[in-house]
Amino acid sequence: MENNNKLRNLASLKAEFHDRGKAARGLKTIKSYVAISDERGLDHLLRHHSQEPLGTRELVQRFEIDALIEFYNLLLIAALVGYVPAELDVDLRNEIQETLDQDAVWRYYAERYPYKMTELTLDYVKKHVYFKNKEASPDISLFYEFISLNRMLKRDADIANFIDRYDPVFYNKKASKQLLEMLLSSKKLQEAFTAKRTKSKSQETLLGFVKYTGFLTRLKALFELTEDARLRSAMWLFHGYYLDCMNMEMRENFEQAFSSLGKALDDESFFSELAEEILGDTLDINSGKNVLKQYAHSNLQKAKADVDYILDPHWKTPLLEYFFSKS
Amino acid sequence: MANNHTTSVEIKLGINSEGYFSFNEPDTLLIFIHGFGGKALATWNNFPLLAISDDTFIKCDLIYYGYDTFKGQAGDHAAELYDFIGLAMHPLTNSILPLGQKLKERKYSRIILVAHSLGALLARQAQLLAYHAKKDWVQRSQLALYAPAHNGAAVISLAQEALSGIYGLMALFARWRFPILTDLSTNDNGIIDHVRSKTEALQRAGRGDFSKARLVVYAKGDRVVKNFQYGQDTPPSVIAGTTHTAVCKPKQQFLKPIELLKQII
Repeated sequence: MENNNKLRNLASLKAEFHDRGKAARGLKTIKSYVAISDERGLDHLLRHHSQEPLGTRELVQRFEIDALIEFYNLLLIAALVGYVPAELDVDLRNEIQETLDQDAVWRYYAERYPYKMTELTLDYVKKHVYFKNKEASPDISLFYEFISLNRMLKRDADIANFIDRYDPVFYNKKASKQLLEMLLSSKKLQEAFTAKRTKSKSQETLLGFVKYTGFLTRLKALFELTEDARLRSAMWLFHGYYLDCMNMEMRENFEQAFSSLGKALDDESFFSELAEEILGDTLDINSGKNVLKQYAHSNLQKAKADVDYILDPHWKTPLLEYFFSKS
Repeated sequence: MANNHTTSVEIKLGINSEGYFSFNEPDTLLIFIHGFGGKALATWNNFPLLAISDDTFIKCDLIYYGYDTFKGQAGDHAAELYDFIGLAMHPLTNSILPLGQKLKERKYSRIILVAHSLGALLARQAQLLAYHAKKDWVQRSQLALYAPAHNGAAVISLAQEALSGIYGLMALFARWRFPILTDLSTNDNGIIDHVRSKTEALQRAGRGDFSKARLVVYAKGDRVVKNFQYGQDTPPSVIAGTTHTAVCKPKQQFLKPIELLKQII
């Protein structure tokens, strides 16, 4: 792809993810502190929550700064797949460096809430360790799908509720215990699965977990679409903040949760009722029941395999090695 | 390799809808509508990249429309799709195309509704709503249908193919989606019959050209939908060795789905 095209892509990407919405407001917030040399104020805004609880407005401002940081990290992936020029453009490089190199911002993503990819993004522009410019490839399609997947993750309230339980900022001991109790009890899982109301309390608790496994499945599908180990690594690291939190807090619970789900689905009456409801009186309910049961168990196995696959932290290595080799 | 479209632009209508807008002056809008259990973009696999890197689509805007198939009936989604298409006719005015992309307002001479499975039923119903509401876009609209479920579907097979992971399972057991599965059941006399009879009546009266699909694609391995002629649709193209869900997913070694669409652009 010609450089002009890549520059046009970069402008379009900026218009979508940088010049409007949360990221734009995040940049404005940082600039407002920098303009009056209020390093302390910015540091206070981006403090560790254990130091002093965060107010609602502060949380909103931090989300906006998170969106800006995510955009910078997304650029790294865009450069890797050849969607934008590997060197980005000079204004953007300067902006990234000025923002991420601010002491307060650096402490935020490197020390207080470690998000490794952001450190790499800063190195990328600061140390000029650009990827080799490459021609457009099918990986660009993967990049679009990655964008789509991220949007889904951001917009789904059930997933947000679930992952917040593993974010130290929002960690709620009672809510986490409630979720864990449900995941470890096949009886409670059965109740949640068969609740008639669209959103019973039990379903609400379970839904985020279930949807998050769906997200991991889709992420795995993306990994399998590319031969580029660094790209897989970059996609993992992009979500690395939560994946690392999951690994620390949840890894062994996933194992037990899938075992409980398997037990919950062993109940024959589940499938008979469902087959009757779908098929009515006229068709072969018994065979429908067996088809559904088989489908349920194979889906469960697949979901478990997908979770194991993605939570494996070795995915982060290739990109880390790239930066290590350049330093 | 051509590159004539914006990046993926978020559209806050429907569920996870996205658009790719031409940098050239476009004359055609393609709206992709997924089926049961599908996703705005994932249903179509490499369609976005293949389309925007192909000169055939240089003057086309592409919108991948999403909706939540686990909630609501087919009629609800068709009505929302109808509203959406109306707004998408003027995407800049209606904030579907963001000002920041620095592109002009569009004047489409043609709208192609590219639909998979259940999406075909929604697209047809949306056209009928537009016809009765005397919306001028309907006469400029065309249908391109992949594995259309307008003749109904085998609902268990559909659920199995379309839903993956434990979310699919949970949704199935929690019966969230039954309204829409019932809509697609061949035992039901609801929206499928309604759409068919209205379409046939229009075509008989010589007023339903827009409802005659310009492209119909069958998957030879389809276990989900009934493949037979619908009204005065164009004769179908059959792709062998594929399935209900894969028939609309082109990739480097399987370009047939997009090649067929290119024939009507």
